[in-house]
Amino acid sequence: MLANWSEILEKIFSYTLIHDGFVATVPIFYACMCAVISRQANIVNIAAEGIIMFGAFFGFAASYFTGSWICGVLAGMLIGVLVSWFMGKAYLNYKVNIFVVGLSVNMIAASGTRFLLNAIFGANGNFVSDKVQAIAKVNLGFLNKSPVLSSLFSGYAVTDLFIIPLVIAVWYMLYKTVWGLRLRSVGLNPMASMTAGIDVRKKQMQALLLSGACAGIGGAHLSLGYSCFFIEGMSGGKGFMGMAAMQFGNANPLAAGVGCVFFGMSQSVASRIAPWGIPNQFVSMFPYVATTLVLAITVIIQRMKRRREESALVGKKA
Amino acid sequence: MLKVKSEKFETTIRIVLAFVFSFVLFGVVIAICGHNPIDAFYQLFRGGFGSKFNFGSLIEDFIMILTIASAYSLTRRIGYFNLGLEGSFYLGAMFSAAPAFLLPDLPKIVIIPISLACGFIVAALYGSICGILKAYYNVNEACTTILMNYVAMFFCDFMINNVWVSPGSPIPQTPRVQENAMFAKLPLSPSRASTAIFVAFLVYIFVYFLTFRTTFGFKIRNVATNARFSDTVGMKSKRVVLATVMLSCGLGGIAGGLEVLGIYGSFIQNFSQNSAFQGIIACLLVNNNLALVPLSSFFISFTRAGGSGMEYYTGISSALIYTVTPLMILFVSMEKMFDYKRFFRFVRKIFVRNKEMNVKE
Repeated sequence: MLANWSEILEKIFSYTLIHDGFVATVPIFYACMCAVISRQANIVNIAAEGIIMFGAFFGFAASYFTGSWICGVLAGMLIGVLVSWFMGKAYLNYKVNIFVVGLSVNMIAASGTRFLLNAIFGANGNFVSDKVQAIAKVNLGFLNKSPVLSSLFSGYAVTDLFIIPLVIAVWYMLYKTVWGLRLRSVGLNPMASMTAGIDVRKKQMQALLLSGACAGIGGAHLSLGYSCFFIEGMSGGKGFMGMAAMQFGNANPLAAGVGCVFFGMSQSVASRIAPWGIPNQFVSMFPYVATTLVLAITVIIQRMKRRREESALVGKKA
Repeated sequence: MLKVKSEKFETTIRIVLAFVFSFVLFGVVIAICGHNPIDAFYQLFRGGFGSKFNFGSLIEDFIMILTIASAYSLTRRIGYFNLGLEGSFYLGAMFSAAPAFLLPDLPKIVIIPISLACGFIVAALYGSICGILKAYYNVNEACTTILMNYVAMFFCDFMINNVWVSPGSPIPQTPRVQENAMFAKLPLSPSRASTAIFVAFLVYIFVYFLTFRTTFGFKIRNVATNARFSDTVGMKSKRVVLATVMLSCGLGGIAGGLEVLGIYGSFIQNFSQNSAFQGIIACLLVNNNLALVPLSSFFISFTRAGGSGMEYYTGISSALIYTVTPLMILFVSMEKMFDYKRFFRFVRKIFVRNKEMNVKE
């Protein structure tokens, strides 16, 4: 029995887990960057899910019609920016509740992509085609001799690898540039930054557009890099997992990245547990439960910490 | 007082304008797709009101949507964004079915309340998870509720595949409930519309009275406007939030129960394809104005029934109508976008300026 268990564990936690886990993490990462940028500007952007759906569909369609994955990714990015621009107009100019905007965008994306899939490709629910060019994979041929090294470092899609510079760039922009400082000040205290002469609305709009671009690329990656087909509802809560990761990292891109990796890993570990007699539904449930639990625990811890800091400053609260 | 009245009038005009605008958009999209928009509208109406069956399926949807919209309205009032209604809809359906096939045959008047109460309790407990996290720890509810929805769905899936299995059925589902637990059908014979509609109206009236005529409703409305004030006065806003969320999710569970006991007779896999969100749309469409909720619920259920009719007769995917209704929410909520008074002022300004220029010349 014990030998059996260790064998199972060995199979689950082998070196290939790193590759699979990273691949599963990337879509969540893109959603997380979307959430991080808009959260820093004090916008709770729940539309990541919808923008990912839009990006997935338009990226897929662009790749279908042009036969080039670069066009696909660009189309995904563009549609992300467009949708966020619309959201920004609604939220900043017309003062609609941001949750209402986000929910509407999510619902429009869910049914709109279904409609467009039917209207353009004549397909119901899912669509696969040879004409679609998937995102190129970076294969390092000289590593082929060693299965471990080639599994670890080779065979990622370009957008998989792009996430690493993206996260660093977002972190750099937010914490090391003037633009980022102003953006964060808008997020912390809009009134004060207005007094300091910052155009709050413009800053928030910029943040929204950037976050839309991130989520749009994430969507294109989902349908062209992560897999090479389009199914309705293929985002499957990834946008919200990204948001959870954002809260986990307290809107710091690097810390949030840790959360993303955890959620992605839990997904791929769950898919590896499946063959050992655990019901399929619990396996699919696992990432969601893990995400909710981790989110709850981190928020509670953060809150306790903040309270302690507050009490040191103001004196004990009765 | 007068001002309030005119404001109400303006809101109504705005909603109507938003409707007209979205339907024009709808027609344009249909025309682009190469169909005749007028024919599509005709089929849409026929799908909703064309025959006894069509009207019946409209009522089927109306029962569920009215219940969910009323439930959602409670949490909307306190600013809690309850997307977990889909999950409570599932759990409510499952656990309303459970006593109805586990218990021995009981008279109608006993088994139906037991079933609905069971669904209510389970759904309310499910809602309390996110409610506690929101009220006491301020965890973002939009995130947790959506993620918990998946958990609820997979849990129900597990139950019908492993615990409460109905052997020999092509789609996984629970065993059929006893005949006494089913609501009597309305005289719209080919459709499955049932007398559950009275329960739905009961829920609506309950929510209306609770919000506007009871102490608890007063607390809800106070917490909504100023939580700190109500804390100071001694209302315990956190407890009010939690209670409201649990109540709302419980009512969402009742909606699931009505769906199972009124229509299907057993919990079927994937019986609701995000239909709880239609109820949320119905509530948001009228800006949480409870008096208008039945009307908007009726409208949404009309679009649902009509959409499938339209799909059947013209081949336009019914997904289009599901795209238009959330757009409507945006248009309705964009207060300044359909500010017809400003538009009139703008037009008058142009005219006046032209006149002045004419005079100058």
